[in-house]
Amino acid sequence: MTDAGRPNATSSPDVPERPGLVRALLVRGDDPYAGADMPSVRNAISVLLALHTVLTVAFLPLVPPTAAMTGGWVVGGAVVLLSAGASAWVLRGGTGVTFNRLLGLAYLGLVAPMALQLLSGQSLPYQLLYLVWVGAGSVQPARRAFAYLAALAVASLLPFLLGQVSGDLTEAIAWTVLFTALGLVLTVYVSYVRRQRLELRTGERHARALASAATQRVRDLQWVTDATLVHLPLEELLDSLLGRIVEAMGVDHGAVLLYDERGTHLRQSASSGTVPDDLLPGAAVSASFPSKVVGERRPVTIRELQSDGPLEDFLLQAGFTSVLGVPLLSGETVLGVLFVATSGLRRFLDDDASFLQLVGDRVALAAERSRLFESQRHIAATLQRSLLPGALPTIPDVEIAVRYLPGGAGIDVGGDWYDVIDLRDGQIALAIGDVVGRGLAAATLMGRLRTALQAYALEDHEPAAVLERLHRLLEEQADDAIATVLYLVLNPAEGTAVIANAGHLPPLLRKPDGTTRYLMGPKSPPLGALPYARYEQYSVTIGREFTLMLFTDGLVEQRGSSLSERLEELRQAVCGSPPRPEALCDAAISALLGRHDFNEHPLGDDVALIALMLEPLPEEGFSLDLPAEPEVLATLRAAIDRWLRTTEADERDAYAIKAATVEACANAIEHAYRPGDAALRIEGNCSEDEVSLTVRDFGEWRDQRGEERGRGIFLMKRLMDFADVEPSEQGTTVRLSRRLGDSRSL
Amino acid sequence: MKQIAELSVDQDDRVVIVRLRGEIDLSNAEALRLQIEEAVPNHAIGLIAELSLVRYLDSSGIRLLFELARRLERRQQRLVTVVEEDSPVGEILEMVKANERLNVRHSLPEAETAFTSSP
Repeated sequence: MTDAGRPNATSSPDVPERPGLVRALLVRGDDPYAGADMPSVRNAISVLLALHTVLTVAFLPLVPPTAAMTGGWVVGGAVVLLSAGASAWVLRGGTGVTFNRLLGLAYLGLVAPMALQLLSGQSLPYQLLYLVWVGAGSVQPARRAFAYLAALAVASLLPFLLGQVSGDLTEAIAWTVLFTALGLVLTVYVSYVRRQRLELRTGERHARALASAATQRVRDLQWVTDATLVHLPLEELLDSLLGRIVEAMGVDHGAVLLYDERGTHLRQSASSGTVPDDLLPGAAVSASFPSKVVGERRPVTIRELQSDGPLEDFLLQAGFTSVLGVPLLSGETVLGVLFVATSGLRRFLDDDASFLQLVGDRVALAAERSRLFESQRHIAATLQRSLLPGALPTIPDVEIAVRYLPGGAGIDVGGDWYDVIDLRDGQIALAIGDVVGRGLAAATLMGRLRTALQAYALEDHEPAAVLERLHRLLEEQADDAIATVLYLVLNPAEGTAVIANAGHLPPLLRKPDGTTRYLMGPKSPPLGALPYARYEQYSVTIGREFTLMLFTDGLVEQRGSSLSERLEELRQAVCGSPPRPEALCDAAISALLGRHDFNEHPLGDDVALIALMLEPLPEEGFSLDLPAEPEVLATLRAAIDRWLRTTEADERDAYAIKAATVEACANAIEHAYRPGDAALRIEGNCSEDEVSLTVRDFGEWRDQRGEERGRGIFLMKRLMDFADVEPSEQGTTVRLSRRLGDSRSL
Repeated sequence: MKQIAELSVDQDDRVVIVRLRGEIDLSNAEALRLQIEEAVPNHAIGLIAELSLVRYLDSSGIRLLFELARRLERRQQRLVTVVEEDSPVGEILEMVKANERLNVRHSLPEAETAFTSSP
């Protein structure tokens, strides 16, 4: 899975509290100019300065600066020019125009009316110029503006106090008071407007921050839970979820604790973050913190971790200080606990808890779904395994190999099956089939067909009759089901096989020289396909060391290649392979399915494969290991029969040798072993006119019970020229030999 | 597992004929004996075990026949055994000297007369 990065994160909003207006006027704030709108301030002051210029130009001829004729006019001209220059500078000065400079300019400006008053000796009309400077000072923050207005009042009265101007002092004071009051009102008004603007702006920013935080949470939640959309095994899913949770929340550690199958112990199922997984190896966790989450069924935050249990101890040791846990709920059931831990100064807020709970709900859903999915898959796989043969029958002179590669993902099991049946009369039946469709229904139908086929096979029917019965069963029991089956009965003694094929791919026959061909013959329709289908059979010769291979379409069907091309590929692979069944299966699979990593990518379809090689026991001698069970005796007799066929032995020799060997085996089966797995080793040798056999067991012969039981050893001795029973601590060895061709009775 | 021997029962009015074919060994002897015993009702005077089509028989089969004879005897019933002359099965019964105990005959008519001649 590719982990898409977490969407852009924004910090959570932070709204400082605003002090009251009066406090704001008097207390020095962090930023005295907060809320000021510099461009309009500049425009206003520029206009005021222009007004100052115009007024000065108007007043100068009215009340000329008479004191020192020439010097007075120079100062007057300078004031005009400086005012105009200042106006232009403020208007266009850009970032160079700061509040501090404007304040400096305002203080400097106070000198202009004062100088003009002193030079002209008249208070009015120059006194009016102070109005301009009241305006210029009022744009400053309250504290600075108040100081400035005080300075302005002093400047406005100074010429009178110096006695340098003529005019009414009372009138001048009145003007000054008026101007100062005007200034105060203006200042308060400006502060008020600025505060309003500031609040508006902060509120707006806060709202935007809230909105973007909410969007971020939603995005985080989506991003975290996107991970649950992919079908992953539970542990991988939790790992991927935790990684995202830790990143989205900006925490140091996250873990999921789930209840075990019995629902009694919480176990760590996944862990992410800075702590390596192996520090908490899934041990039962009985700490107080998760228990509290489970008990309260709601998010629990622990701001300062205490040493309350093994999990807490572990977290403390790892340097974590606070932890936030939420229950994983599925309906009323608590599936487990999801928690995150952090080591910094970070405090978990309600916001974090509700976010984690939202995530937890989805984790619970995913965990529940994943558990359900895994248990279904387990059921399906178990069912499928139980429907295929566990152990193949042991047939002494036949070597068999099988392969079964399940296809499909999850519960999508297929309906391929195979079977090898020892017919106990020396014949072996092979069956391979494919139920059309997938899933549990196909798997169970496959199981029924397999059981039915076994039953019909053991009833001694001809192959075509077996398929006909299966077809009838399918028609009666599963109306719309269709299955292809290839059924083959091999007679190793005669070297023949009878084949009936219901719509299945033909078997492949490889001769010892490598020549390989498909055993084509009359092909009948698949079982269940046509109501009144007839099934036909045909016979082929299977010689010594010939190899037969039966397979299902999963081996040869491939998108983009025609079936005939693939069948030819298989034929060539078998042709060039070593003849042994195991090697043949490997060669076929590697040639047709390549280096397929079956765990990583399940095959599209099931593949079943049986390979069988006829390998009669060598004439000069053999060694066989058989399970110590009464059922193998018939198989053993058939194998000895086929072996003796290559020697000089006549019918009576064969009977005597079989009977004596079976007696020796029967004794071992009856007396040497307790019930359960046990083995017999039978070795046979033939030299010119004598056959000798050794039967070994690895148990201890018990005393024979019952009056009839001694007859076996008696018969052994009578049937053979030599019979010896040699018990030892490792087991008992029976040696038997008989001369051949004496034309005598048994 | 496929049965290696088959059994069919022919019920005369007084004599039950059980025909066996196939092979008798340790794996099936006990089961066959139980089946045969069940086939013999109390009112029957005896049982003919027809073994002409038995291809293989060893000490397990002999034990079966002896046990059968013993049980029938207890119920005052007789066992007559038919095997082919000069067959390995016949020879093996001879070998353990069972001919008298099992009333071995070489054909079915012979076996039937065994019942009429010596009641």
